[in-house]
Amino acid sequence: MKRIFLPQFVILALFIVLLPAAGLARDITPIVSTDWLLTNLKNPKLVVLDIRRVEDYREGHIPGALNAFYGAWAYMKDGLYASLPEKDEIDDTISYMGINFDRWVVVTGCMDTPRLSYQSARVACTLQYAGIKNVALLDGGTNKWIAEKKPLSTRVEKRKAGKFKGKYTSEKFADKNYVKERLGKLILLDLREREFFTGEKKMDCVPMRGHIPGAFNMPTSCAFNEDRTFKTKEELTAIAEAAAGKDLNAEIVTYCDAGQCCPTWSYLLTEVLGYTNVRLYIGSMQEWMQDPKAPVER
Amino acid sequence: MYKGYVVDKALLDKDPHFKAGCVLCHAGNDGELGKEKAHLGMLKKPSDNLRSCGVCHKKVAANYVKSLHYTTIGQRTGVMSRFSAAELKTFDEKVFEKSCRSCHASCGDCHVKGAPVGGISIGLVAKHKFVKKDEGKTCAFCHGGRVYPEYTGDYGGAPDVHYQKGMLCMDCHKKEEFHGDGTAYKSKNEIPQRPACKSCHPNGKEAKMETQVAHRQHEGKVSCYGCHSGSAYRNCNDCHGGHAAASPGMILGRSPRDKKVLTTLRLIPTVRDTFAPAGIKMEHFDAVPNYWDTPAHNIKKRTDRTRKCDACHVDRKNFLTKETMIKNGAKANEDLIFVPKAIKN
Ligand code: HEC
Ligand code: HEC
Ligand code: HEC
Ligand code: HEC
Ligand code: HEC
Ligand code: HEC
Ligand code: HEC
Ligand code: HEC
Repeated sequence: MKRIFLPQFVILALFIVLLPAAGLARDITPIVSTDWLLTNLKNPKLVVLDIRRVEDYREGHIPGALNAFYGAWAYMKDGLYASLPEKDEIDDTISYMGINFDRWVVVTGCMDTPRLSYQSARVACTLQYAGIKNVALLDGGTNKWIAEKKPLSTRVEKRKAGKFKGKYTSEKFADKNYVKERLGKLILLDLREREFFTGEKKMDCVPMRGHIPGAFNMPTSCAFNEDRTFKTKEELTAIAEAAAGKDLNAEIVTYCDAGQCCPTWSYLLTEVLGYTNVRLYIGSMQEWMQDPKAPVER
Repeated sequence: MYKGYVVDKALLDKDPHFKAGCVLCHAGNDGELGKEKAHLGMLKKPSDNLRSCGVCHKKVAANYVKSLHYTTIGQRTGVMSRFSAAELKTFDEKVFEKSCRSCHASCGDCHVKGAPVGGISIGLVAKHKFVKKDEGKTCAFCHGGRVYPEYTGDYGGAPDVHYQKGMLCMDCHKKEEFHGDGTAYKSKNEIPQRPACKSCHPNGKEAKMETQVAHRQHEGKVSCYGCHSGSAYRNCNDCHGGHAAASPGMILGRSPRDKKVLTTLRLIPTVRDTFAPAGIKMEHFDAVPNYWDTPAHNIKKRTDRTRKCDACHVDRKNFLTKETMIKNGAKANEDLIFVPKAIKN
């Protein structure tokens, strides 16, 4: 446990390096390391949200972490796999955790599969949608924490429920009409793996092959290293600029199959790389392709 | 190598169960070194014989013989009223003993090794530890067709609010339900220890006045599930010869057990020709409905019905009707149709 005693200035330096370019109103960096989390675990402002299944949480979790299962943040509604809950339901979920606007919320999840490793960003984006500013992702998730043999707890944590009422922004998400009306004017980023973009492969839940005309492919998996930590800011910048260009004010919409993986890049683009106008289209291809006349490119 | 069957070495010294060696439960020959000879006569599933555990857990084993998880009598109770006396006899001989009884739970299924489902097992729950409970690796497999995936939201829909709040099966259910209390009940509905929503959510504790009113107005008229079941649950549509094709749905109608009450109904897999292969026609098939009241494990605080009174009083959304009813079903199904009155202002 030597890490706890890192000199203050090293932590400070780490902190500054990771601060977003645009210098948004944030008190914590958008991505925090396991070491940072360990040193800050006792900070009264901090809330760690563990979005893994209840069974996994009970087997052992980051000390003090609250369990907030992913399923409550994105679930099947009207036939769409990963719909956004109603606002009052999001309020309920956040209230249950006793979270309010001035908390630092670090989201951590299970990284066993690529799909699971994309979930934390979806939750982070939802918290931001509700108006919470200091949201961060734990780099490498709970898997890295466990691999590094950092302390685990089996205590089921409860916090006094609060009365949270979100200040919802309309600038985080795009719906089908939004995308349709602006086709050709905005930069569309298709965040699925290449074969799904080209139409060689298709998920069962998506009615047709192919992608929205004019979209650029920027697979979500490219944001991660082998160990499911994020690539460096320089690497991420290079990938993003190749697909989305260098204009930080360009209007960008990200989408994928069902809105489960597109939040990852959406989050990185705005929070880490400083793009200012990024929305994510949650209905994604599952919704778009239900219309047989929808514009499609293969 | 797959580690699901490896026994934890550290347990052997600590855990009283291993004091007398593996042979105590698994038989075989512990004096032999070669695998073939050592495993001669070995039992893979020692708790099929309740005495393996009963020598030390006398009371539990004695009670367990009468519990529903052991007798699986609930499945017999469920269908028997469709049979004539002669048919029941055939059923007991040809179907119940051979088919239904085989899915009973052994002590080990809940405490040592995940029960195999479709021939596949996850192996030992925790390296042969005798766990008190581990719902995700025990209950989840046998109840993985409907209850468990409905509860976690994996069946399609939001997770049950109790799962969202970190609760698992045993936070509501009590071990007495499973071990039994020494009385041989015929069905789950007779078990006194079964959970009830009301015992944790008594009337009058609601945060908002309107909620209290809504609850009071519907007491004894609409079950909790009627308003709070969050999404479609598994139903057995189009079942033939006992082979079920399941599909999601939500069906609201009168409870067959209490016709005054509107509740969630589930289509069960018994159809006219289910027992035809055993030569049972089911003389009284029409006397019993194909829909039964179901405690759907997908509770949400807010649903389309808690949001809008008209969902029931006007639109009758998801209500069982003559048109939506299964074809060639039992006549008794018609008694379950509920037409609520419009609300007077
Ligand atoms: C040789 C006697 C003996 C036999 C045979 C035996 N047990 Fe036990 N069992 C014990 C004792 C003693 C304890 C109490 C241990 C304690 O309190 O730490 C125990 C405790 C348990 C527990 C609770 C564990 C816990 O964490 O508290 C379970 C579950 C259990 N036994 C299941 C079984 C099952 C199932 C079988 C049959 C396959 C079985 N036992 C056979 C002696 C036995
Ligand atoms: C080996 C498979 C198996 C396992 C493991 C299992 N069950 Fe069951 N369960 C069944 C069967 C089969 C029935 C139907 C019994 C009947 O005929 O009434 C049942 C019935 C039930 C019932 C209704 C009847 C009653 O006894 O109250 C409940 C509640 C229940 N199970 C909960 C659980 C829970 C909770 C667990 C985990 C602690 C669990 N079950 C583990 C197979 C299993
Ligand atoms: C359907 C699941 C199920 C079956 C089958 C079952 N148990 Fe249990 N058992 C439980 C649960 C659940 C608990 C309680 C866990 C808790 O409350 O923490 C428990 C607790 C125990 C304990 C711990 C002591 C206690 O009473 O709390 C022992 C010992 C035990 N069981 C033995 C047995 C034996 C022996 C059998 C077979 C005769 C058996 N169990 C069959 C579910 C089951
Ligand atoms: C107190 C009784 C008891 C003792 C002692 C015991 N076991 Fe078991 N064992 C069980 C039960 C119960 C199961 C689960 C099957 C069942 O439901 O009966 C099991 C299952 C297993 C399985 C999985 C078998 C399969 O193919 O499904 C292995 C392997 C195993 N035991 C190895 C051992 C070894 C090795 C020892 C000695 C170190 C040992 N057991 C001692 C009760 C016991
Ligand atoms: C919030 C409390 C709660 C939780 C958590 C819960 N149950 Fe239940 N369960 C109930 C109630 C209430 C009933 C209805 C009891 C009755 O009146 O018959 C029930 C009934 C059942 C039945 C029998 C009804 C049927 O559909 O045939 C099974 C089986 C069952 N539960 C299994 C489980 C399993 C497995 C889990 C864990 C995945 C679980 N329950 C978690 C409250 C709960
Ligand atoms: C063993 C006790 C227990 C049983 C049985 C139980 N619940 Fe709960 N329920 C709880 C707890 C604990 C909570 C979380 C309360 C909290 O955190 O404020 C909860 C939460 C809820 C909520 C959300 C309340 C809110 O304010 O957001 C609803 C709705 C609910 N339960 C309905 C039901 C229904 C319907 C049943 C029967 C199927 C049921 N409960 C059975 C203990 C129980
Ligand atoms: C006629 C529909 C209806 C029925 C039947 C019903 N409820 Fe509710 N329930 C509601 C409504 C409406 C709310 C308020 C939801 C909201 O705040 O948006 C509610 C809220 C709740 C809450 C949260 C209370 C709070 O303080 O906010 C709980 C817990 C609950 N119900 C439990 C139950 C239980 C247990 C039953 C069965 C005994 C039941 N309900 C039956 C309509 C119903
Ligand atoms: C799940 C369906 C359902 C929902 C939702 C529902 N009701 Fe009802 N309500 C019923 C049923 C069934 C009855 C039983 C009486 C009947 O036959 O109409 C009833 C009875 C009533 C009665 C008493 C009528 C009488 O004379 O017996 C009133 C008043 C009422 N409801 C008002 C409301 C209000 C207000 C809401 C919204 C908060 C609401 N209901 C939501 C199903 C529902």
